[in-house]
Amino acid sequence: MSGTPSGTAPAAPAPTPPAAPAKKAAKPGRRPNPRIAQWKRTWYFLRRNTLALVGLGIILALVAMALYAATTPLNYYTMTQYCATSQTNPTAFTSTGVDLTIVPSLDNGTYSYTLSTTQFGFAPSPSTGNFTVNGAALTVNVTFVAKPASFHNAPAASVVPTAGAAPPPYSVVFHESGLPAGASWKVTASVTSENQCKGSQVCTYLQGSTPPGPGCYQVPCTSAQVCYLSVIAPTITLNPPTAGPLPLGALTLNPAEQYFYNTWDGLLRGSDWSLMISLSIVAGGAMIGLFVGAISGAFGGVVDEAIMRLVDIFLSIPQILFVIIVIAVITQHQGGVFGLSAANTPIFLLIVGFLVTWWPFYARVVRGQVLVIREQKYVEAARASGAGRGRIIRRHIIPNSMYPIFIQMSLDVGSIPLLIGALIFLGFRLFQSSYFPEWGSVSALSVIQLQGFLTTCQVGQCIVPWWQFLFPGFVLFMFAISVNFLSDGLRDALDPRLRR
Amino acid sequence: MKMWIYIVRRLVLLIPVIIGVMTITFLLLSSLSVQQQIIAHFGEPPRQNPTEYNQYLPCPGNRSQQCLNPIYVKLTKQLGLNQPAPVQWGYYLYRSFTFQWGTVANQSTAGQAIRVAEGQPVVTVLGWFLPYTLELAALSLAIILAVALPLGNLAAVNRNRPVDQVARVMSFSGFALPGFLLSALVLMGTVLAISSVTGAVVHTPWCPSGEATWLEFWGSWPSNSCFPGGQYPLWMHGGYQTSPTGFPTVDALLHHQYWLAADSLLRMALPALVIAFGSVAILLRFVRNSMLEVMNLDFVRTARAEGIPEQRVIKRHAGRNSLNVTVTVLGLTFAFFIGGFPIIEDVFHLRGVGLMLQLAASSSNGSIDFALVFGSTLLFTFIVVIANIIVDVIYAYLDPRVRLG
Repeated sequence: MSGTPSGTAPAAPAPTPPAAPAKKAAKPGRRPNPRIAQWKRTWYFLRRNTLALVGLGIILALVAMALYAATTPLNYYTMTQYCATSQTNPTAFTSTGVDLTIVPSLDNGTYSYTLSTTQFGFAPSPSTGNFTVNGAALTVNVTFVAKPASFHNAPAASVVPTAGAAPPPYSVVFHESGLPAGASWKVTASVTSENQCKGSQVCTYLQGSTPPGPGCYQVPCTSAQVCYLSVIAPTITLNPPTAGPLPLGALTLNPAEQYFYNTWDGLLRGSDWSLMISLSIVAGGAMIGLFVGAISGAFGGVVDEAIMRLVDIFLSIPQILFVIIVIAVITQHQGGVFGLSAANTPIFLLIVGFLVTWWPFYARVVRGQVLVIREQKYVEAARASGAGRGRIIRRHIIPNSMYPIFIQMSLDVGSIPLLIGALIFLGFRLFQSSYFPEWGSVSALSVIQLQGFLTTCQVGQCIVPWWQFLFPGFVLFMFAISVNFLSDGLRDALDPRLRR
Repeated sequence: MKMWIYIVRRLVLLIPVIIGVMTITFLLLSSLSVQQQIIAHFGEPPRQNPTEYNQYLPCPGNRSQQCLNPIYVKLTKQLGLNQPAPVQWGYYLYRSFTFQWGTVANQSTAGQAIRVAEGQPVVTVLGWFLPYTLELAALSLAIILAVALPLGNLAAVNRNRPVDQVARVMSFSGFALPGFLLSALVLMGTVLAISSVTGAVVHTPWCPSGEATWLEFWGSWPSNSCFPGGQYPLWMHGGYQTSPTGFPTVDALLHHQYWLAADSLLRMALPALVIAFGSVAILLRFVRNSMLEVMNLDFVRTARAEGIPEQRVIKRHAGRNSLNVTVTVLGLTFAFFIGGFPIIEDVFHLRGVGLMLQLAASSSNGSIDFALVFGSTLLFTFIVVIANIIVDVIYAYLDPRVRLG
C-alpha cells in the first residue's frame, strides 16, 4: 500500500495541487504506463526540434481559426458576397416558374419557343453578351416535361440561353423526340440569378469622382477593356494607383462585375471545411489501409499476394488522374446518395472519391511494417512467454506499426487541399457553389482570376492583383509545409534509429 | 538469370497489372448509363439526328406508341451491354487490348475546344498529342536528375551546413507549393521580369510580329503570324500536331526550321522546370539519405583509410552505390511526376495528353468525354508502368543481385 498521502486525502477534502503528483510518484512497485512514457519521450524530442515546433504552432493556429469559423452563423456553402453600392443592389427575386402548354407541330425534331418577359415576372434588361438583371448575370434554366410522362423516355435537357442574344423576349431552341402526335407539354421555366448579390454592401466610388464618405473603396473603371488597354506605360507596377484601394483580398477585381468576394473571408471560413475534409479523407484512408494491410501482413500467403497485387494496380494509376476519373464518374450520380441531403452530397462524394484512391498507400505501409515487426525479437519474446496471437497483434504489432501511418497521415493531410485546388483549377465543380469557402478552392479561383487578368493585358502594362493569390497561396503553403515540418519532427522523435 | 529473361519476366508480370487497371476503368465506365457508354464508344450521334441513340423512339407505324430503337439495340449488342457483367468485362478487355478506346464526342468540352478531334477515335487523337508530352517529360526528367543528384550528394556531404538547409527548404517547398499556383506565378513572374527589363513588349527575336508579352510563353507554338504567309506550314497540321515524328523539336529540325526548334525548347523550359520542382523535392530527400547511409558503410571507411582522395571516394565509391536507391525512388515518384502534367499543360496551354485529359474531364463547355478521360488515364498508366519496368531493368543492371536472387 502507499504511504501517508493516500491516507490523508480523505480527511482533507481540498488538498493542494502538488499533492496529486506526489501521490502518484510515491506508489511503489508500479511501473509507469509505457504509453504515457512514450508520448512523454516523443514530446521531449519534439520540443528540441524548432521546425517541428513552428509547424505545430501553425497547425494549432489554423485549428483555432477553424474552431472560430465553425461558430460563425453564416451560409456554410458559399463565401460572403459583397456588393458595390455605386450600382443598385440587385433585389432578390424568385421566379415561381410558369406552366406553359405547347403543341408540337412535328413529332420529332427541333422546336423553338419564345419566352416573354411577363412569363417570368421580371424584366431582364437587354445587354449584349449577357442577360443581366440590374447588373447581375443571369442563368435561365428551362425544363420541359411532357405531359403524358409515360411517353417520354428522358427529360429534355435544361436549356441555358447562350450569351449574345438580346432579351426580352428570347427564344429557346430545344430538341425533343418520342412525343406522340398532338400531345401537349407542360413547360416549366425557372430563372435563377447565380451572381445575384445576397451579402453585405460595400461603399464604392468610381475613380476620379469624389468619395461619398470615409471607408469607401475606389473602383478603377467601369469596363475591363477600357481599364486595361488604356494604360500604356513601359513599367509594370504591382499595385498601380488605378487598381486600388480595393479591399485587400477582394477576389474579383473585374470592374464590370460590381460584386466581389473576400479572400480573407474565404480563408477564414474555409479553415473548418478544409481541415474537416482532409482529416476525414486521411483518417478514412488510414483506417481502411490499416485493416487491409494488417490482414495482408498477418495472413501472408495467397491473401497477402492477392491484396498486394491489388494495391500495385491501384498505385500504378497516377493518383490525381485516378481522383479525376472517379470524381468525373461520381458527379454523374449527384442526385443525393445514401439518403444524404442534397447540400451535403457533393462533399460526401468528394470524400468517397478520394478514399477510393487513398487507401492503397496505407495498406502498403502497414503491411511492410507488420512484416518487419512480426520478426522482431520482442515479438518472439512475447510469444515465448506465452502471449496469445491476439495479444501480440494488439499490444505489439499494432502500436508499433502505428507510427509510420501516423507520419504518413500527417504528410497527407497537407496535400489534400492542394489536390482539391488542382481539381477545381482543372474545371471540376466539386462543391455546391463555385465560391465555396475552402482553401484549395479559394486559391484555385484566385489563380483562375489571375489568368483572366493576364489574358486581358496584352499591352505592356498589367495590373497584377497580387493580393488575390498571395494570401490563399500562403495559407495553403503554410498548412502543407507546417504539416511537413511536424511529420519530419515526429519521424525523428518516434524512430530511435534516426535520432543520431 | 540472364538480363533478357529478367526483362521478359517483368513484361509478362505487366499483363495482370494492365488487366487490373482496365478492370478499374471498366467498373467506373459501367456505372454510367447505357446511352453514355454507347456515346463513349461510338461518339455522339450526328447533329441532324440527335436522338439516334435513344432507347425508345416513336414507332414507324403508330406514332403514339413507343418502340425500341433498333440502332440502340444493335449498338448495345455490339458492345455486349446486354450480356451479364463478366461477359461485358471480357468485351471491354478485348476492345481495350485491341485499342478500340472509343470516339471523341462532338458536344464534349474537348470536342468543342479542339475541333479536329471531334468524331475521331480516341487512340488517334492521343497519338497526336502523346509525342509532345513525351518530349516534355524527357526534358523535365533531365532537369530532375541534373538537379537532384548533385544537390542531394552535396547536401549529404555537407550535412547540416547551409547547403543542406537550402536543399531541405527546397524540398519542403516542393511538397507544399501547389502546382497550379507555382506555374501561374512562374509564368507571370517571367513575363513581368522580362518586360520590366526590356521595356513594354517582349518579342522573341525570330518572330517580331508575333504576340506580345506573356503570350510568347503560352502555347506549344508561336501563332501562325510568325510563319511565312501567315499560315502554319503543312507539316504542322494547323498547329495541332507535327509530322513525321510528332516530336516538335525533332520535326522542326527535320524541316530545317531551327528557330522553331529553339522556340519549342524555350516554351518547354518553364513548364519542365515547374514539373521538376515538385519531383525534385521527393528525390532530393532520398538521394541525401541514401548517400548518408552509404557514407557510413565500411567500404567507404576502407577507401578513406587507403588514402584515396575524398572527392574520388564520394564520386566513385559512395556516389555510385547510392544510385540504387535513387533509381528505385525515381520509379516510385514517376506516377506523381506524370500526374502533374494535366495542370501544367493546362496553365501553359501545351498541346499534350494532359491538356486533352483536362479538356475531356471538364464539363465547363459541354459534356465530360468519358472515352477520352479513360483513354488518357490508361495511356498515362501505361507510361508509368513501362517507366517502372525500365527503372527495374536499370536497377537490375546496377545491382546484379536483384536478377540473380
